Amino acid sequence: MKRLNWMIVIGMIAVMVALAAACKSSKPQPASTGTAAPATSAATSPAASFAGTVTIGASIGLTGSLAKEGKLTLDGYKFWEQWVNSHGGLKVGDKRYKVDIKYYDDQSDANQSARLMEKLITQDNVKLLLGPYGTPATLQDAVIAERYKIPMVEGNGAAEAIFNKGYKYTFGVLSPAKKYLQGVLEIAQTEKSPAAKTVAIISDNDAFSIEVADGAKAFAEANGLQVVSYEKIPQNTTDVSALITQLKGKNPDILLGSGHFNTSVLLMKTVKDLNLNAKIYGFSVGPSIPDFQKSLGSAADDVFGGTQWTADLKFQDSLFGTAKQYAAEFQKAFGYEPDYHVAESTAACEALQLAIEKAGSLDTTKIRDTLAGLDAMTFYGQIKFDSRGLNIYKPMAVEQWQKGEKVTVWPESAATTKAVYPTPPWSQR
Amino acid sequence: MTTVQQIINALLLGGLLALVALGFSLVWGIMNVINLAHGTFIMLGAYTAYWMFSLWGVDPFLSIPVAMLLLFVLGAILQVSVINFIVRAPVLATLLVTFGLEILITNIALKLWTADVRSVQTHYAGRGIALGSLSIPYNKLGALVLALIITALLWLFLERTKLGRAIRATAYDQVGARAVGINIGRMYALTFGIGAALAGAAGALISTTSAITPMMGSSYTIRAFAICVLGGLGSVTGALVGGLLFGFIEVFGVVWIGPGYSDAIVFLVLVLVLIMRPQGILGRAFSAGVQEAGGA
Amino acid sequence: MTALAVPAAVRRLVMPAWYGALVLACVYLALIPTIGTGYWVRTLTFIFMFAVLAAGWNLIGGFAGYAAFGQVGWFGMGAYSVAVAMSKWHWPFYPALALGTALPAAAALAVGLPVLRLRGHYFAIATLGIAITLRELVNNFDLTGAGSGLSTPLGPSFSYYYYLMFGAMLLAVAVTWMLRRSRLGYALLAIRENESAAATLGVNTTLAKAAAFAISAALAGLVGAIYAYWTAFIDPSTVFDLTFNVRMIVMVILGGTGTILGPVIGAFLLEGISQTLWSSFPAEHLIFFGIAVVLIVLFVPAGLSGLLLELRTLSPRLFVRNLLRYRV
Repeated sequence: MKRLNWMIVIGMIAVMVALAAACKSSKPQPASTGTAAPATSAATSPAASFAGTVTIGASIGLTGSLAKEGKLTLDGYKFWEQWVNSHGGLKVGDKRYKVDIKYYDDQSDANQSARLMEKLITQDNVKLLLGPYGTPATLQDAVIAERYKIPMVEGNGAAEAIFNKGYKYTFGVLSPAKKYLQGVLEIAQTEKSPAAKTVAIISDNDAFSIEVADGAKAFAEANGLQVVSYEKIPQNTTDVSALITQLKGKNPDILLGSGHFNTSVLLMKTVKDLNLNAKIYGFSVGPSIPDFQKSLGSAADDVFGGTQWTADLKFQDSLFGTAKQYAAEFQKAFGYEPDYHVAESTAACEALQLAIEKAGSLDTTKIRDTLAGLDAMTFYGQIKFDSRGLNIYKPMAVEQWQKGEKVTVWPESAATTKAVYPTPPWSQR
Repeated sequence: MTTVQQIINALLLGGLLALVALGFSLVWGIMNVINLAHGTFIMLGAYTAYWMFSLWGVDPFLSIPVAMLLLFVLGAILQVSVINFIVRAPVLATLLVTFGLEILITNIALKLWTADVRSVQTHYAGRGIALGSLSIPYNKLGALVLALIITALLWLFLERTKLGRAIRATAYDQVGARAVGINIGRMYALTFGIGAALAGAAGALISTTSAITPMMGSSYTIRAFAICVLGGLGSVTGALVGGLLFGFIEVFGVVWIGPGYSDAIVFLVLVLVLIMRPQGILGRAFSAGVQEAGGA
Repeated sequence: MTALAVPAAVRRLVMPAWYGALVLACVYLALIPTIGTGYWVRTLTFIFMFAVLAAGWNLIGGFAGYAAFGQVGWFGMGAYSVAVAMSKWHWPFYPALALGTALPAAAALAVGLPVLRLRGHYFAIATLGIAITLRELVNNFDLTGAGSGLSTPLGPSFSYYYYLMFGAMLLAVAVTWMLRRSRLGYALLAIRENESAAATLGVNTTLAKAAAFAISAALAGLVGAIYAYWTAFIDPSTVFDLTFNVRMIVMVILGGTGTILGPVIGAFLLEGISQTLWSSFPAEHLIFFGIAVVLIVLFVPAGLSGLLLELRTLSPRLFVRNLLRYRV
């Protein structure tokens, strides 16, 4: 009897493991999560000539709710690491150093992220930090960086709340949240036939999304657009029919969604289901991710997305070359096209690299001071920080899905094609 | 017209949520177990539909039986191997064990399928019946109809079949049930299996309308909670009424107050219902759990 | 339940050593900020916080036998009290801390009177419902910054919070210890064993339960308040994290339900288990954590104190007996 029960429990575990193994071997992984491959470019400098190793710490959510974005962030970091090491390493004065990114999985938990940052600093003796993914974790990690006076360059926390606290050691290479949807509204301004006059904004209820939505609202009002609705929806919402039905009565010309990927997909599905017809659909997060089109099919067509970066932008630097070359090299190494999460993560590394090379020293205070005064052009755009450590100088771009392809439509200098406007009503698609 | 559309929205949402809560309610009513892993069964049902669709092009509505079968087997195995050992333990033990299973299953799914957001893109997605300015999407309508059919089938099973009566007997009177030769452990395995299968069906239906991720389950568990309490624990009709009520509160909360407060309203109502009428809005049909003396 | 009837001879022999070890442990912990790294300071601050949450839950869940499942609501309320008082009203920290402790206690007393009439699952769900309602209200009020969260001023060094949390933990143990010896403590134990009998014997059960609930809420609010100042930023999803509920309960079970030091020991054990799993299996540790929770409840439902009490007869048989106790 006793033995039987033991056997049941052990059997249960065995069955689960077996099931897990069976599922794993039979089910294909989606193409978008490519595995890391060694950097392909030929090494121009043999590893033997490195004077030492510079370790840079990061805590990233590789499990938990932000695992997908965490993976993109990590790949962006790793790509830079491989690239620099195979291209002569980090130049400090006249010495060259190998770079090593030491990272831990924070389970998408801001508390754990802070703890790991402290582990990196106090146990692994890391003197330089890269940011985690997402605003909540960045907010907590910024406190740690400040306390230990260790510079942290981040590319994945866009809320100004991070930068409005007077911290001196946190630098964000990405454009602030409030700019995410401004490009979409600028496009609306230039289109006159027929002109778009009213805007409805739907936002997720978190720090980043609210800043995006507030920024869009302020911009719309300052430019003579009428905001007919501004609603925040709770987390984990799985049904927005009621909200879209209410909006339908207000018949907005522009529908802006500020939220995370799931919300954007859900809103577009519901908009189509309930036949709400706007002239412009614009989202902060979603359209830039290829899965957006996979999830929506043709309903993704003509949708605009604000983006921190696209490979069509005409920026370049001496490290990677043009934005396009960066994208191609990344794809070669990791097997998928980099989106802006990847690019901004690499850009954070590059900003750190530029500051170290300019400072000619590994002294953290010197690096911090150099970062504060940095003004450089990269494949990602201009990197220059205001007094709060926020990069307000880099423009954002707008992408649009056109017939199943994602194209850059704004700013004009980077546009590969003209924006489709107005979006045809659902009945004609 | 807007109000009519909102009523339709509430019905479509409520019907599906009723199915979400049905298995949870059954398990709770028969065994007095609050299954915090219920949402993960919904998640697994949704993934079943997703993989059948993306690998072999099977329509998610057709993969419901497969999802139900797989989840039934998983549920029965879990009941025999784990939950049967704690069914009579204090309430905390069942809460913790099922929560442990929730963490376990969610993270296995995360490991296997990554955190990527999946969705099933059928050819009729986004199409529907249009009546003037009213829209009824096919997939949601189909989900509602199937949810109602499955609910009705469960009711028939419990009321009209010998096996169903045996299951109900275990809830009413364990000693009596044992005396007439009912194997309680086996009945519980069957019940938990059915509960999981219902969640699997709900998951397959949800896959047609919502995004699929390994973490999608817990929000459905919480809703199932609220629905069971609102409608009355452990009865088929209770779950149906609770689901519809939940749908109406969510939808008209948005209409009258704004989208932010819908969860606050639902859970405030839940607490009030518990305080004033612990047996729910409809009484109990096959539950023995109401007067249980819990405690740790 | 874990009886406290340890043979007197054993007591005389073991107790001085036990107290000595406790004092040594406290001295050691008090020195950590000067001898340990920042990582350990933070990890231990976190463990202290959970120890207090677990000790608070132990009062209502362990002593009175009411399975509260929404303690995180009081934690969040304490955290938000401090954040609002400090960032919106510019209060100094200590008055804000007092508010963060008193407000949850008062709220728990108010809702406790009706909610504590419920038993078992119903009480668990009602408390969970209250926590979710609180979270959703915070999510919507401008005063609380809605979903954006609130920042608190950057306070003194991290060791400061370490000692605050450490102090809170000692306070929680002291409160438990005093309660255990008070009339209220006996009343709660009586309620757990048989509530109607207790009422018949003249125990004011309503009052006793509500008092225990309020004290447990005050403890949760206290650490929530410290937490808000410590992390300098809070938002609804971090301070109303529903998994906290489960973690604190697992800790109590692991250490020993209804005991004085059980919750604290459980907090150290569970965090130890999770950190070990995390460092050995970075990608799978939550899978193993889930398995660990299930196995703990199945095989050691009386926790470490239960094992200690049966030390003499400790054998695999005990685990099997535990497993089979509630089997159908």
